[in-house]
Amino acid sequence: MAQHRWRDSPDVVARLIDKDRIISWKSKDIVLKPNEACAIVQDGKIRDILTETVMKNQVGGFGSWLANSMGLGKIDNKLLFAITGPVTLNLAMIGQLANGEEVKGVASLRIQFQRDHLPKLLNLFTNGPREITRSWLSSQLQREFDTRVVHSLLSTTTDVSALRSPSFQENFEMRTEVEMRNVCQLWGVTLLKSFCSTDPTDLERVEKLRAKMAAKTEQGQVMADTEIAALERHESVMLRRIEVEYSQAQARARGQVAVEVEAELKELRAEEIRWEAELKVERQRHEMNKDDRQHKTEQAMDLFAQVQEAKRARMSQHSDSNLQRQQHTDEVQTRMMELAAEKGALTPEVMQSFLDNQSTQKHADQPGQSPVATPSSTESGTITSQATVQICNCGQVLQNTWTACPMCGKQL
Amino acid sequence: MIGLPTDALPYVRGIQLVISGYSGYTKDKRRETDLAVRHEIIRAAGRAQVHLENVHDQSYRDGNVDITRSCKQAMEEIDQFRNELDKAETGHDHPFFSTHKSISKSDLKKLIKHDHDVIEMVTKSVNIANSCEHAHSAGSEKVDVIKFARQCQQMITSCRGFFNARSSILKGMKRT
Repeated sequence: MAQHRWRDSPDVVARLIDKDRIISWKSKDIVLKPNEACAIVQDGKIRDILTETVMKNQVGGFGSWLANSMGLGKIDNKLLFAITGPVTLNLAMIGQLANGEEVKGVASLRIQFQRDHLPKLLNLFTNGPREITRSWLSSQLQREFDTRVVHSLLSTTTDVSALRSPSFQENFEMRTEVEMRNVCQLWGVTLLKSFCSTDPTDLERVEKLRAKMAAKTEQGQVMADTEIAALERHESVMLRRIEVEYSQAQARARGQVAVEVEAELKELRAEEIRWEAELKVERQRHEMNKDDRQHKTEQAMDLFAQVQEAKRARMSQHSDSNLQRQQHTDEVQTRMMELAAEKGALTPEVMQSFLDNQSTQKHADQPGQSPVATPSSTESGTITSQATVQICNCGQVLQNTWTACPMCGKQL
Repeated sequence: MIGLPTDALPYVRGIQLVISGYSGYTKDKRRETDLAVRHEIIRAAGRAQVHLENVHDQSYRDGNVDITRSCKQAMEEIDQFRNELDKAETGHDHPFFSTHKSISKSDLKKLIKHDHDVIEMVTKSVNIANSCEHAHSAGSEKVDVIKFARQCQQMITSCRGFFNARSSILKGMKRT
């Protein structure tokens, strides 16, 4: 035999079925399980309440349809099914504590449809759908629950700590039991148990965050202390290492300085030796130059002496020759004068010419004397003058007659 | 066919006072008899619960949380008991290859006496709950009210245990 299932969703807790609305060729049985109950309503009267049984040929069937069409049988046939096991309803719980803090959560009401109270469900179907679900039932209870239980209870709760206390849960259950009994009994609902679970409030989140931050800070402090200790150890090790390295570097630098100083000293000594050598060489060269110059000077002096001697000899020879020539001239002139006197030709003009010749001769014998203004004497005098202003490279004034410079010995 | 034991007749009469049509587990009516007994126990427990609910609500509004707490605990015990009664097993119909045996007269007498005792205990619990409500409404001491509520809870707990013993008797019985 085919079975009619009155419940096709776990959310459905009760359903009112009009038997005549179910049309099928074959009639169907309805099996009532131990947690299901059915109230039979016929012609406006509650006939029976069944459970744990098989209701044979209850719905559908061509015969029933035909009888109903012909106006035979019962006028009104309704079946009211319900779950008799415990059902949990979840209701929103939103309110404010006495200190103004907002509380959000869920209140769970565990209810049950008692078999004997099943007809009371008709009160629900009067103003509701033919199918009662848990969500719909929760919505029906929500407003009264908020007003009678949640707001009044939360307004007397001082703070979050009181909200979390066991006494609050106990108080919540008692108040729910007291305040919601009226409507629950009106609808045939038995309230078994109730409790609430609230979300963390903002203050609790802040406290949680603060506790977490404190823990993190403490952890960070410990870690920082550990890191600082590690850094200090590292620093001490580093300082020690630096000291050691510095000492090593110092020692090494000391050694290097000594080596450098020594090397520099060696260089200085070598330089000194070189300088001494150079000085010596220079001195020797100087000596040599000095000797050379002295030698040259002596040589020049010798040469000068020789020249002077030669000059003196030449001048002596020249003067001797001049003297001899003068004497010869004088003798000639004397003879000529004697001859002129003898001949009577000794006139003043002859005397004048004689004196002029005498003076010219004399002037010719004396080269340092300015010549008389005669073309021949002037030309000779210029040559003499030019020869006297000749100057050597070393600054020595040279005579025209000199063959070498008496100062530097340069050959002219 | 096993007939009704004669020495169990007083118990049957006593049960018939509260359950109309109680036949003492006669043939083909054993499941209905069992169901009727359970429903009667459920109803009696319900009566006790209603008394306790009244005390519960009134004491809560008066601020006597201790009384409310005691009543609440007793009510929860009644709820558990009613649930056990509602979901009790009913047994098989055909014990041909099963371990179920035919019931003997002594078993039947024991079962009838057990039903009588359970109903009597539940009735006592109802009376205690009534006394609790009466004491509370009469302005008795809080301790007395709490004492009644706890006595009622204790009686219901005894009923639960006693009813479980009845189930063990019924477990090996052919129910038709």
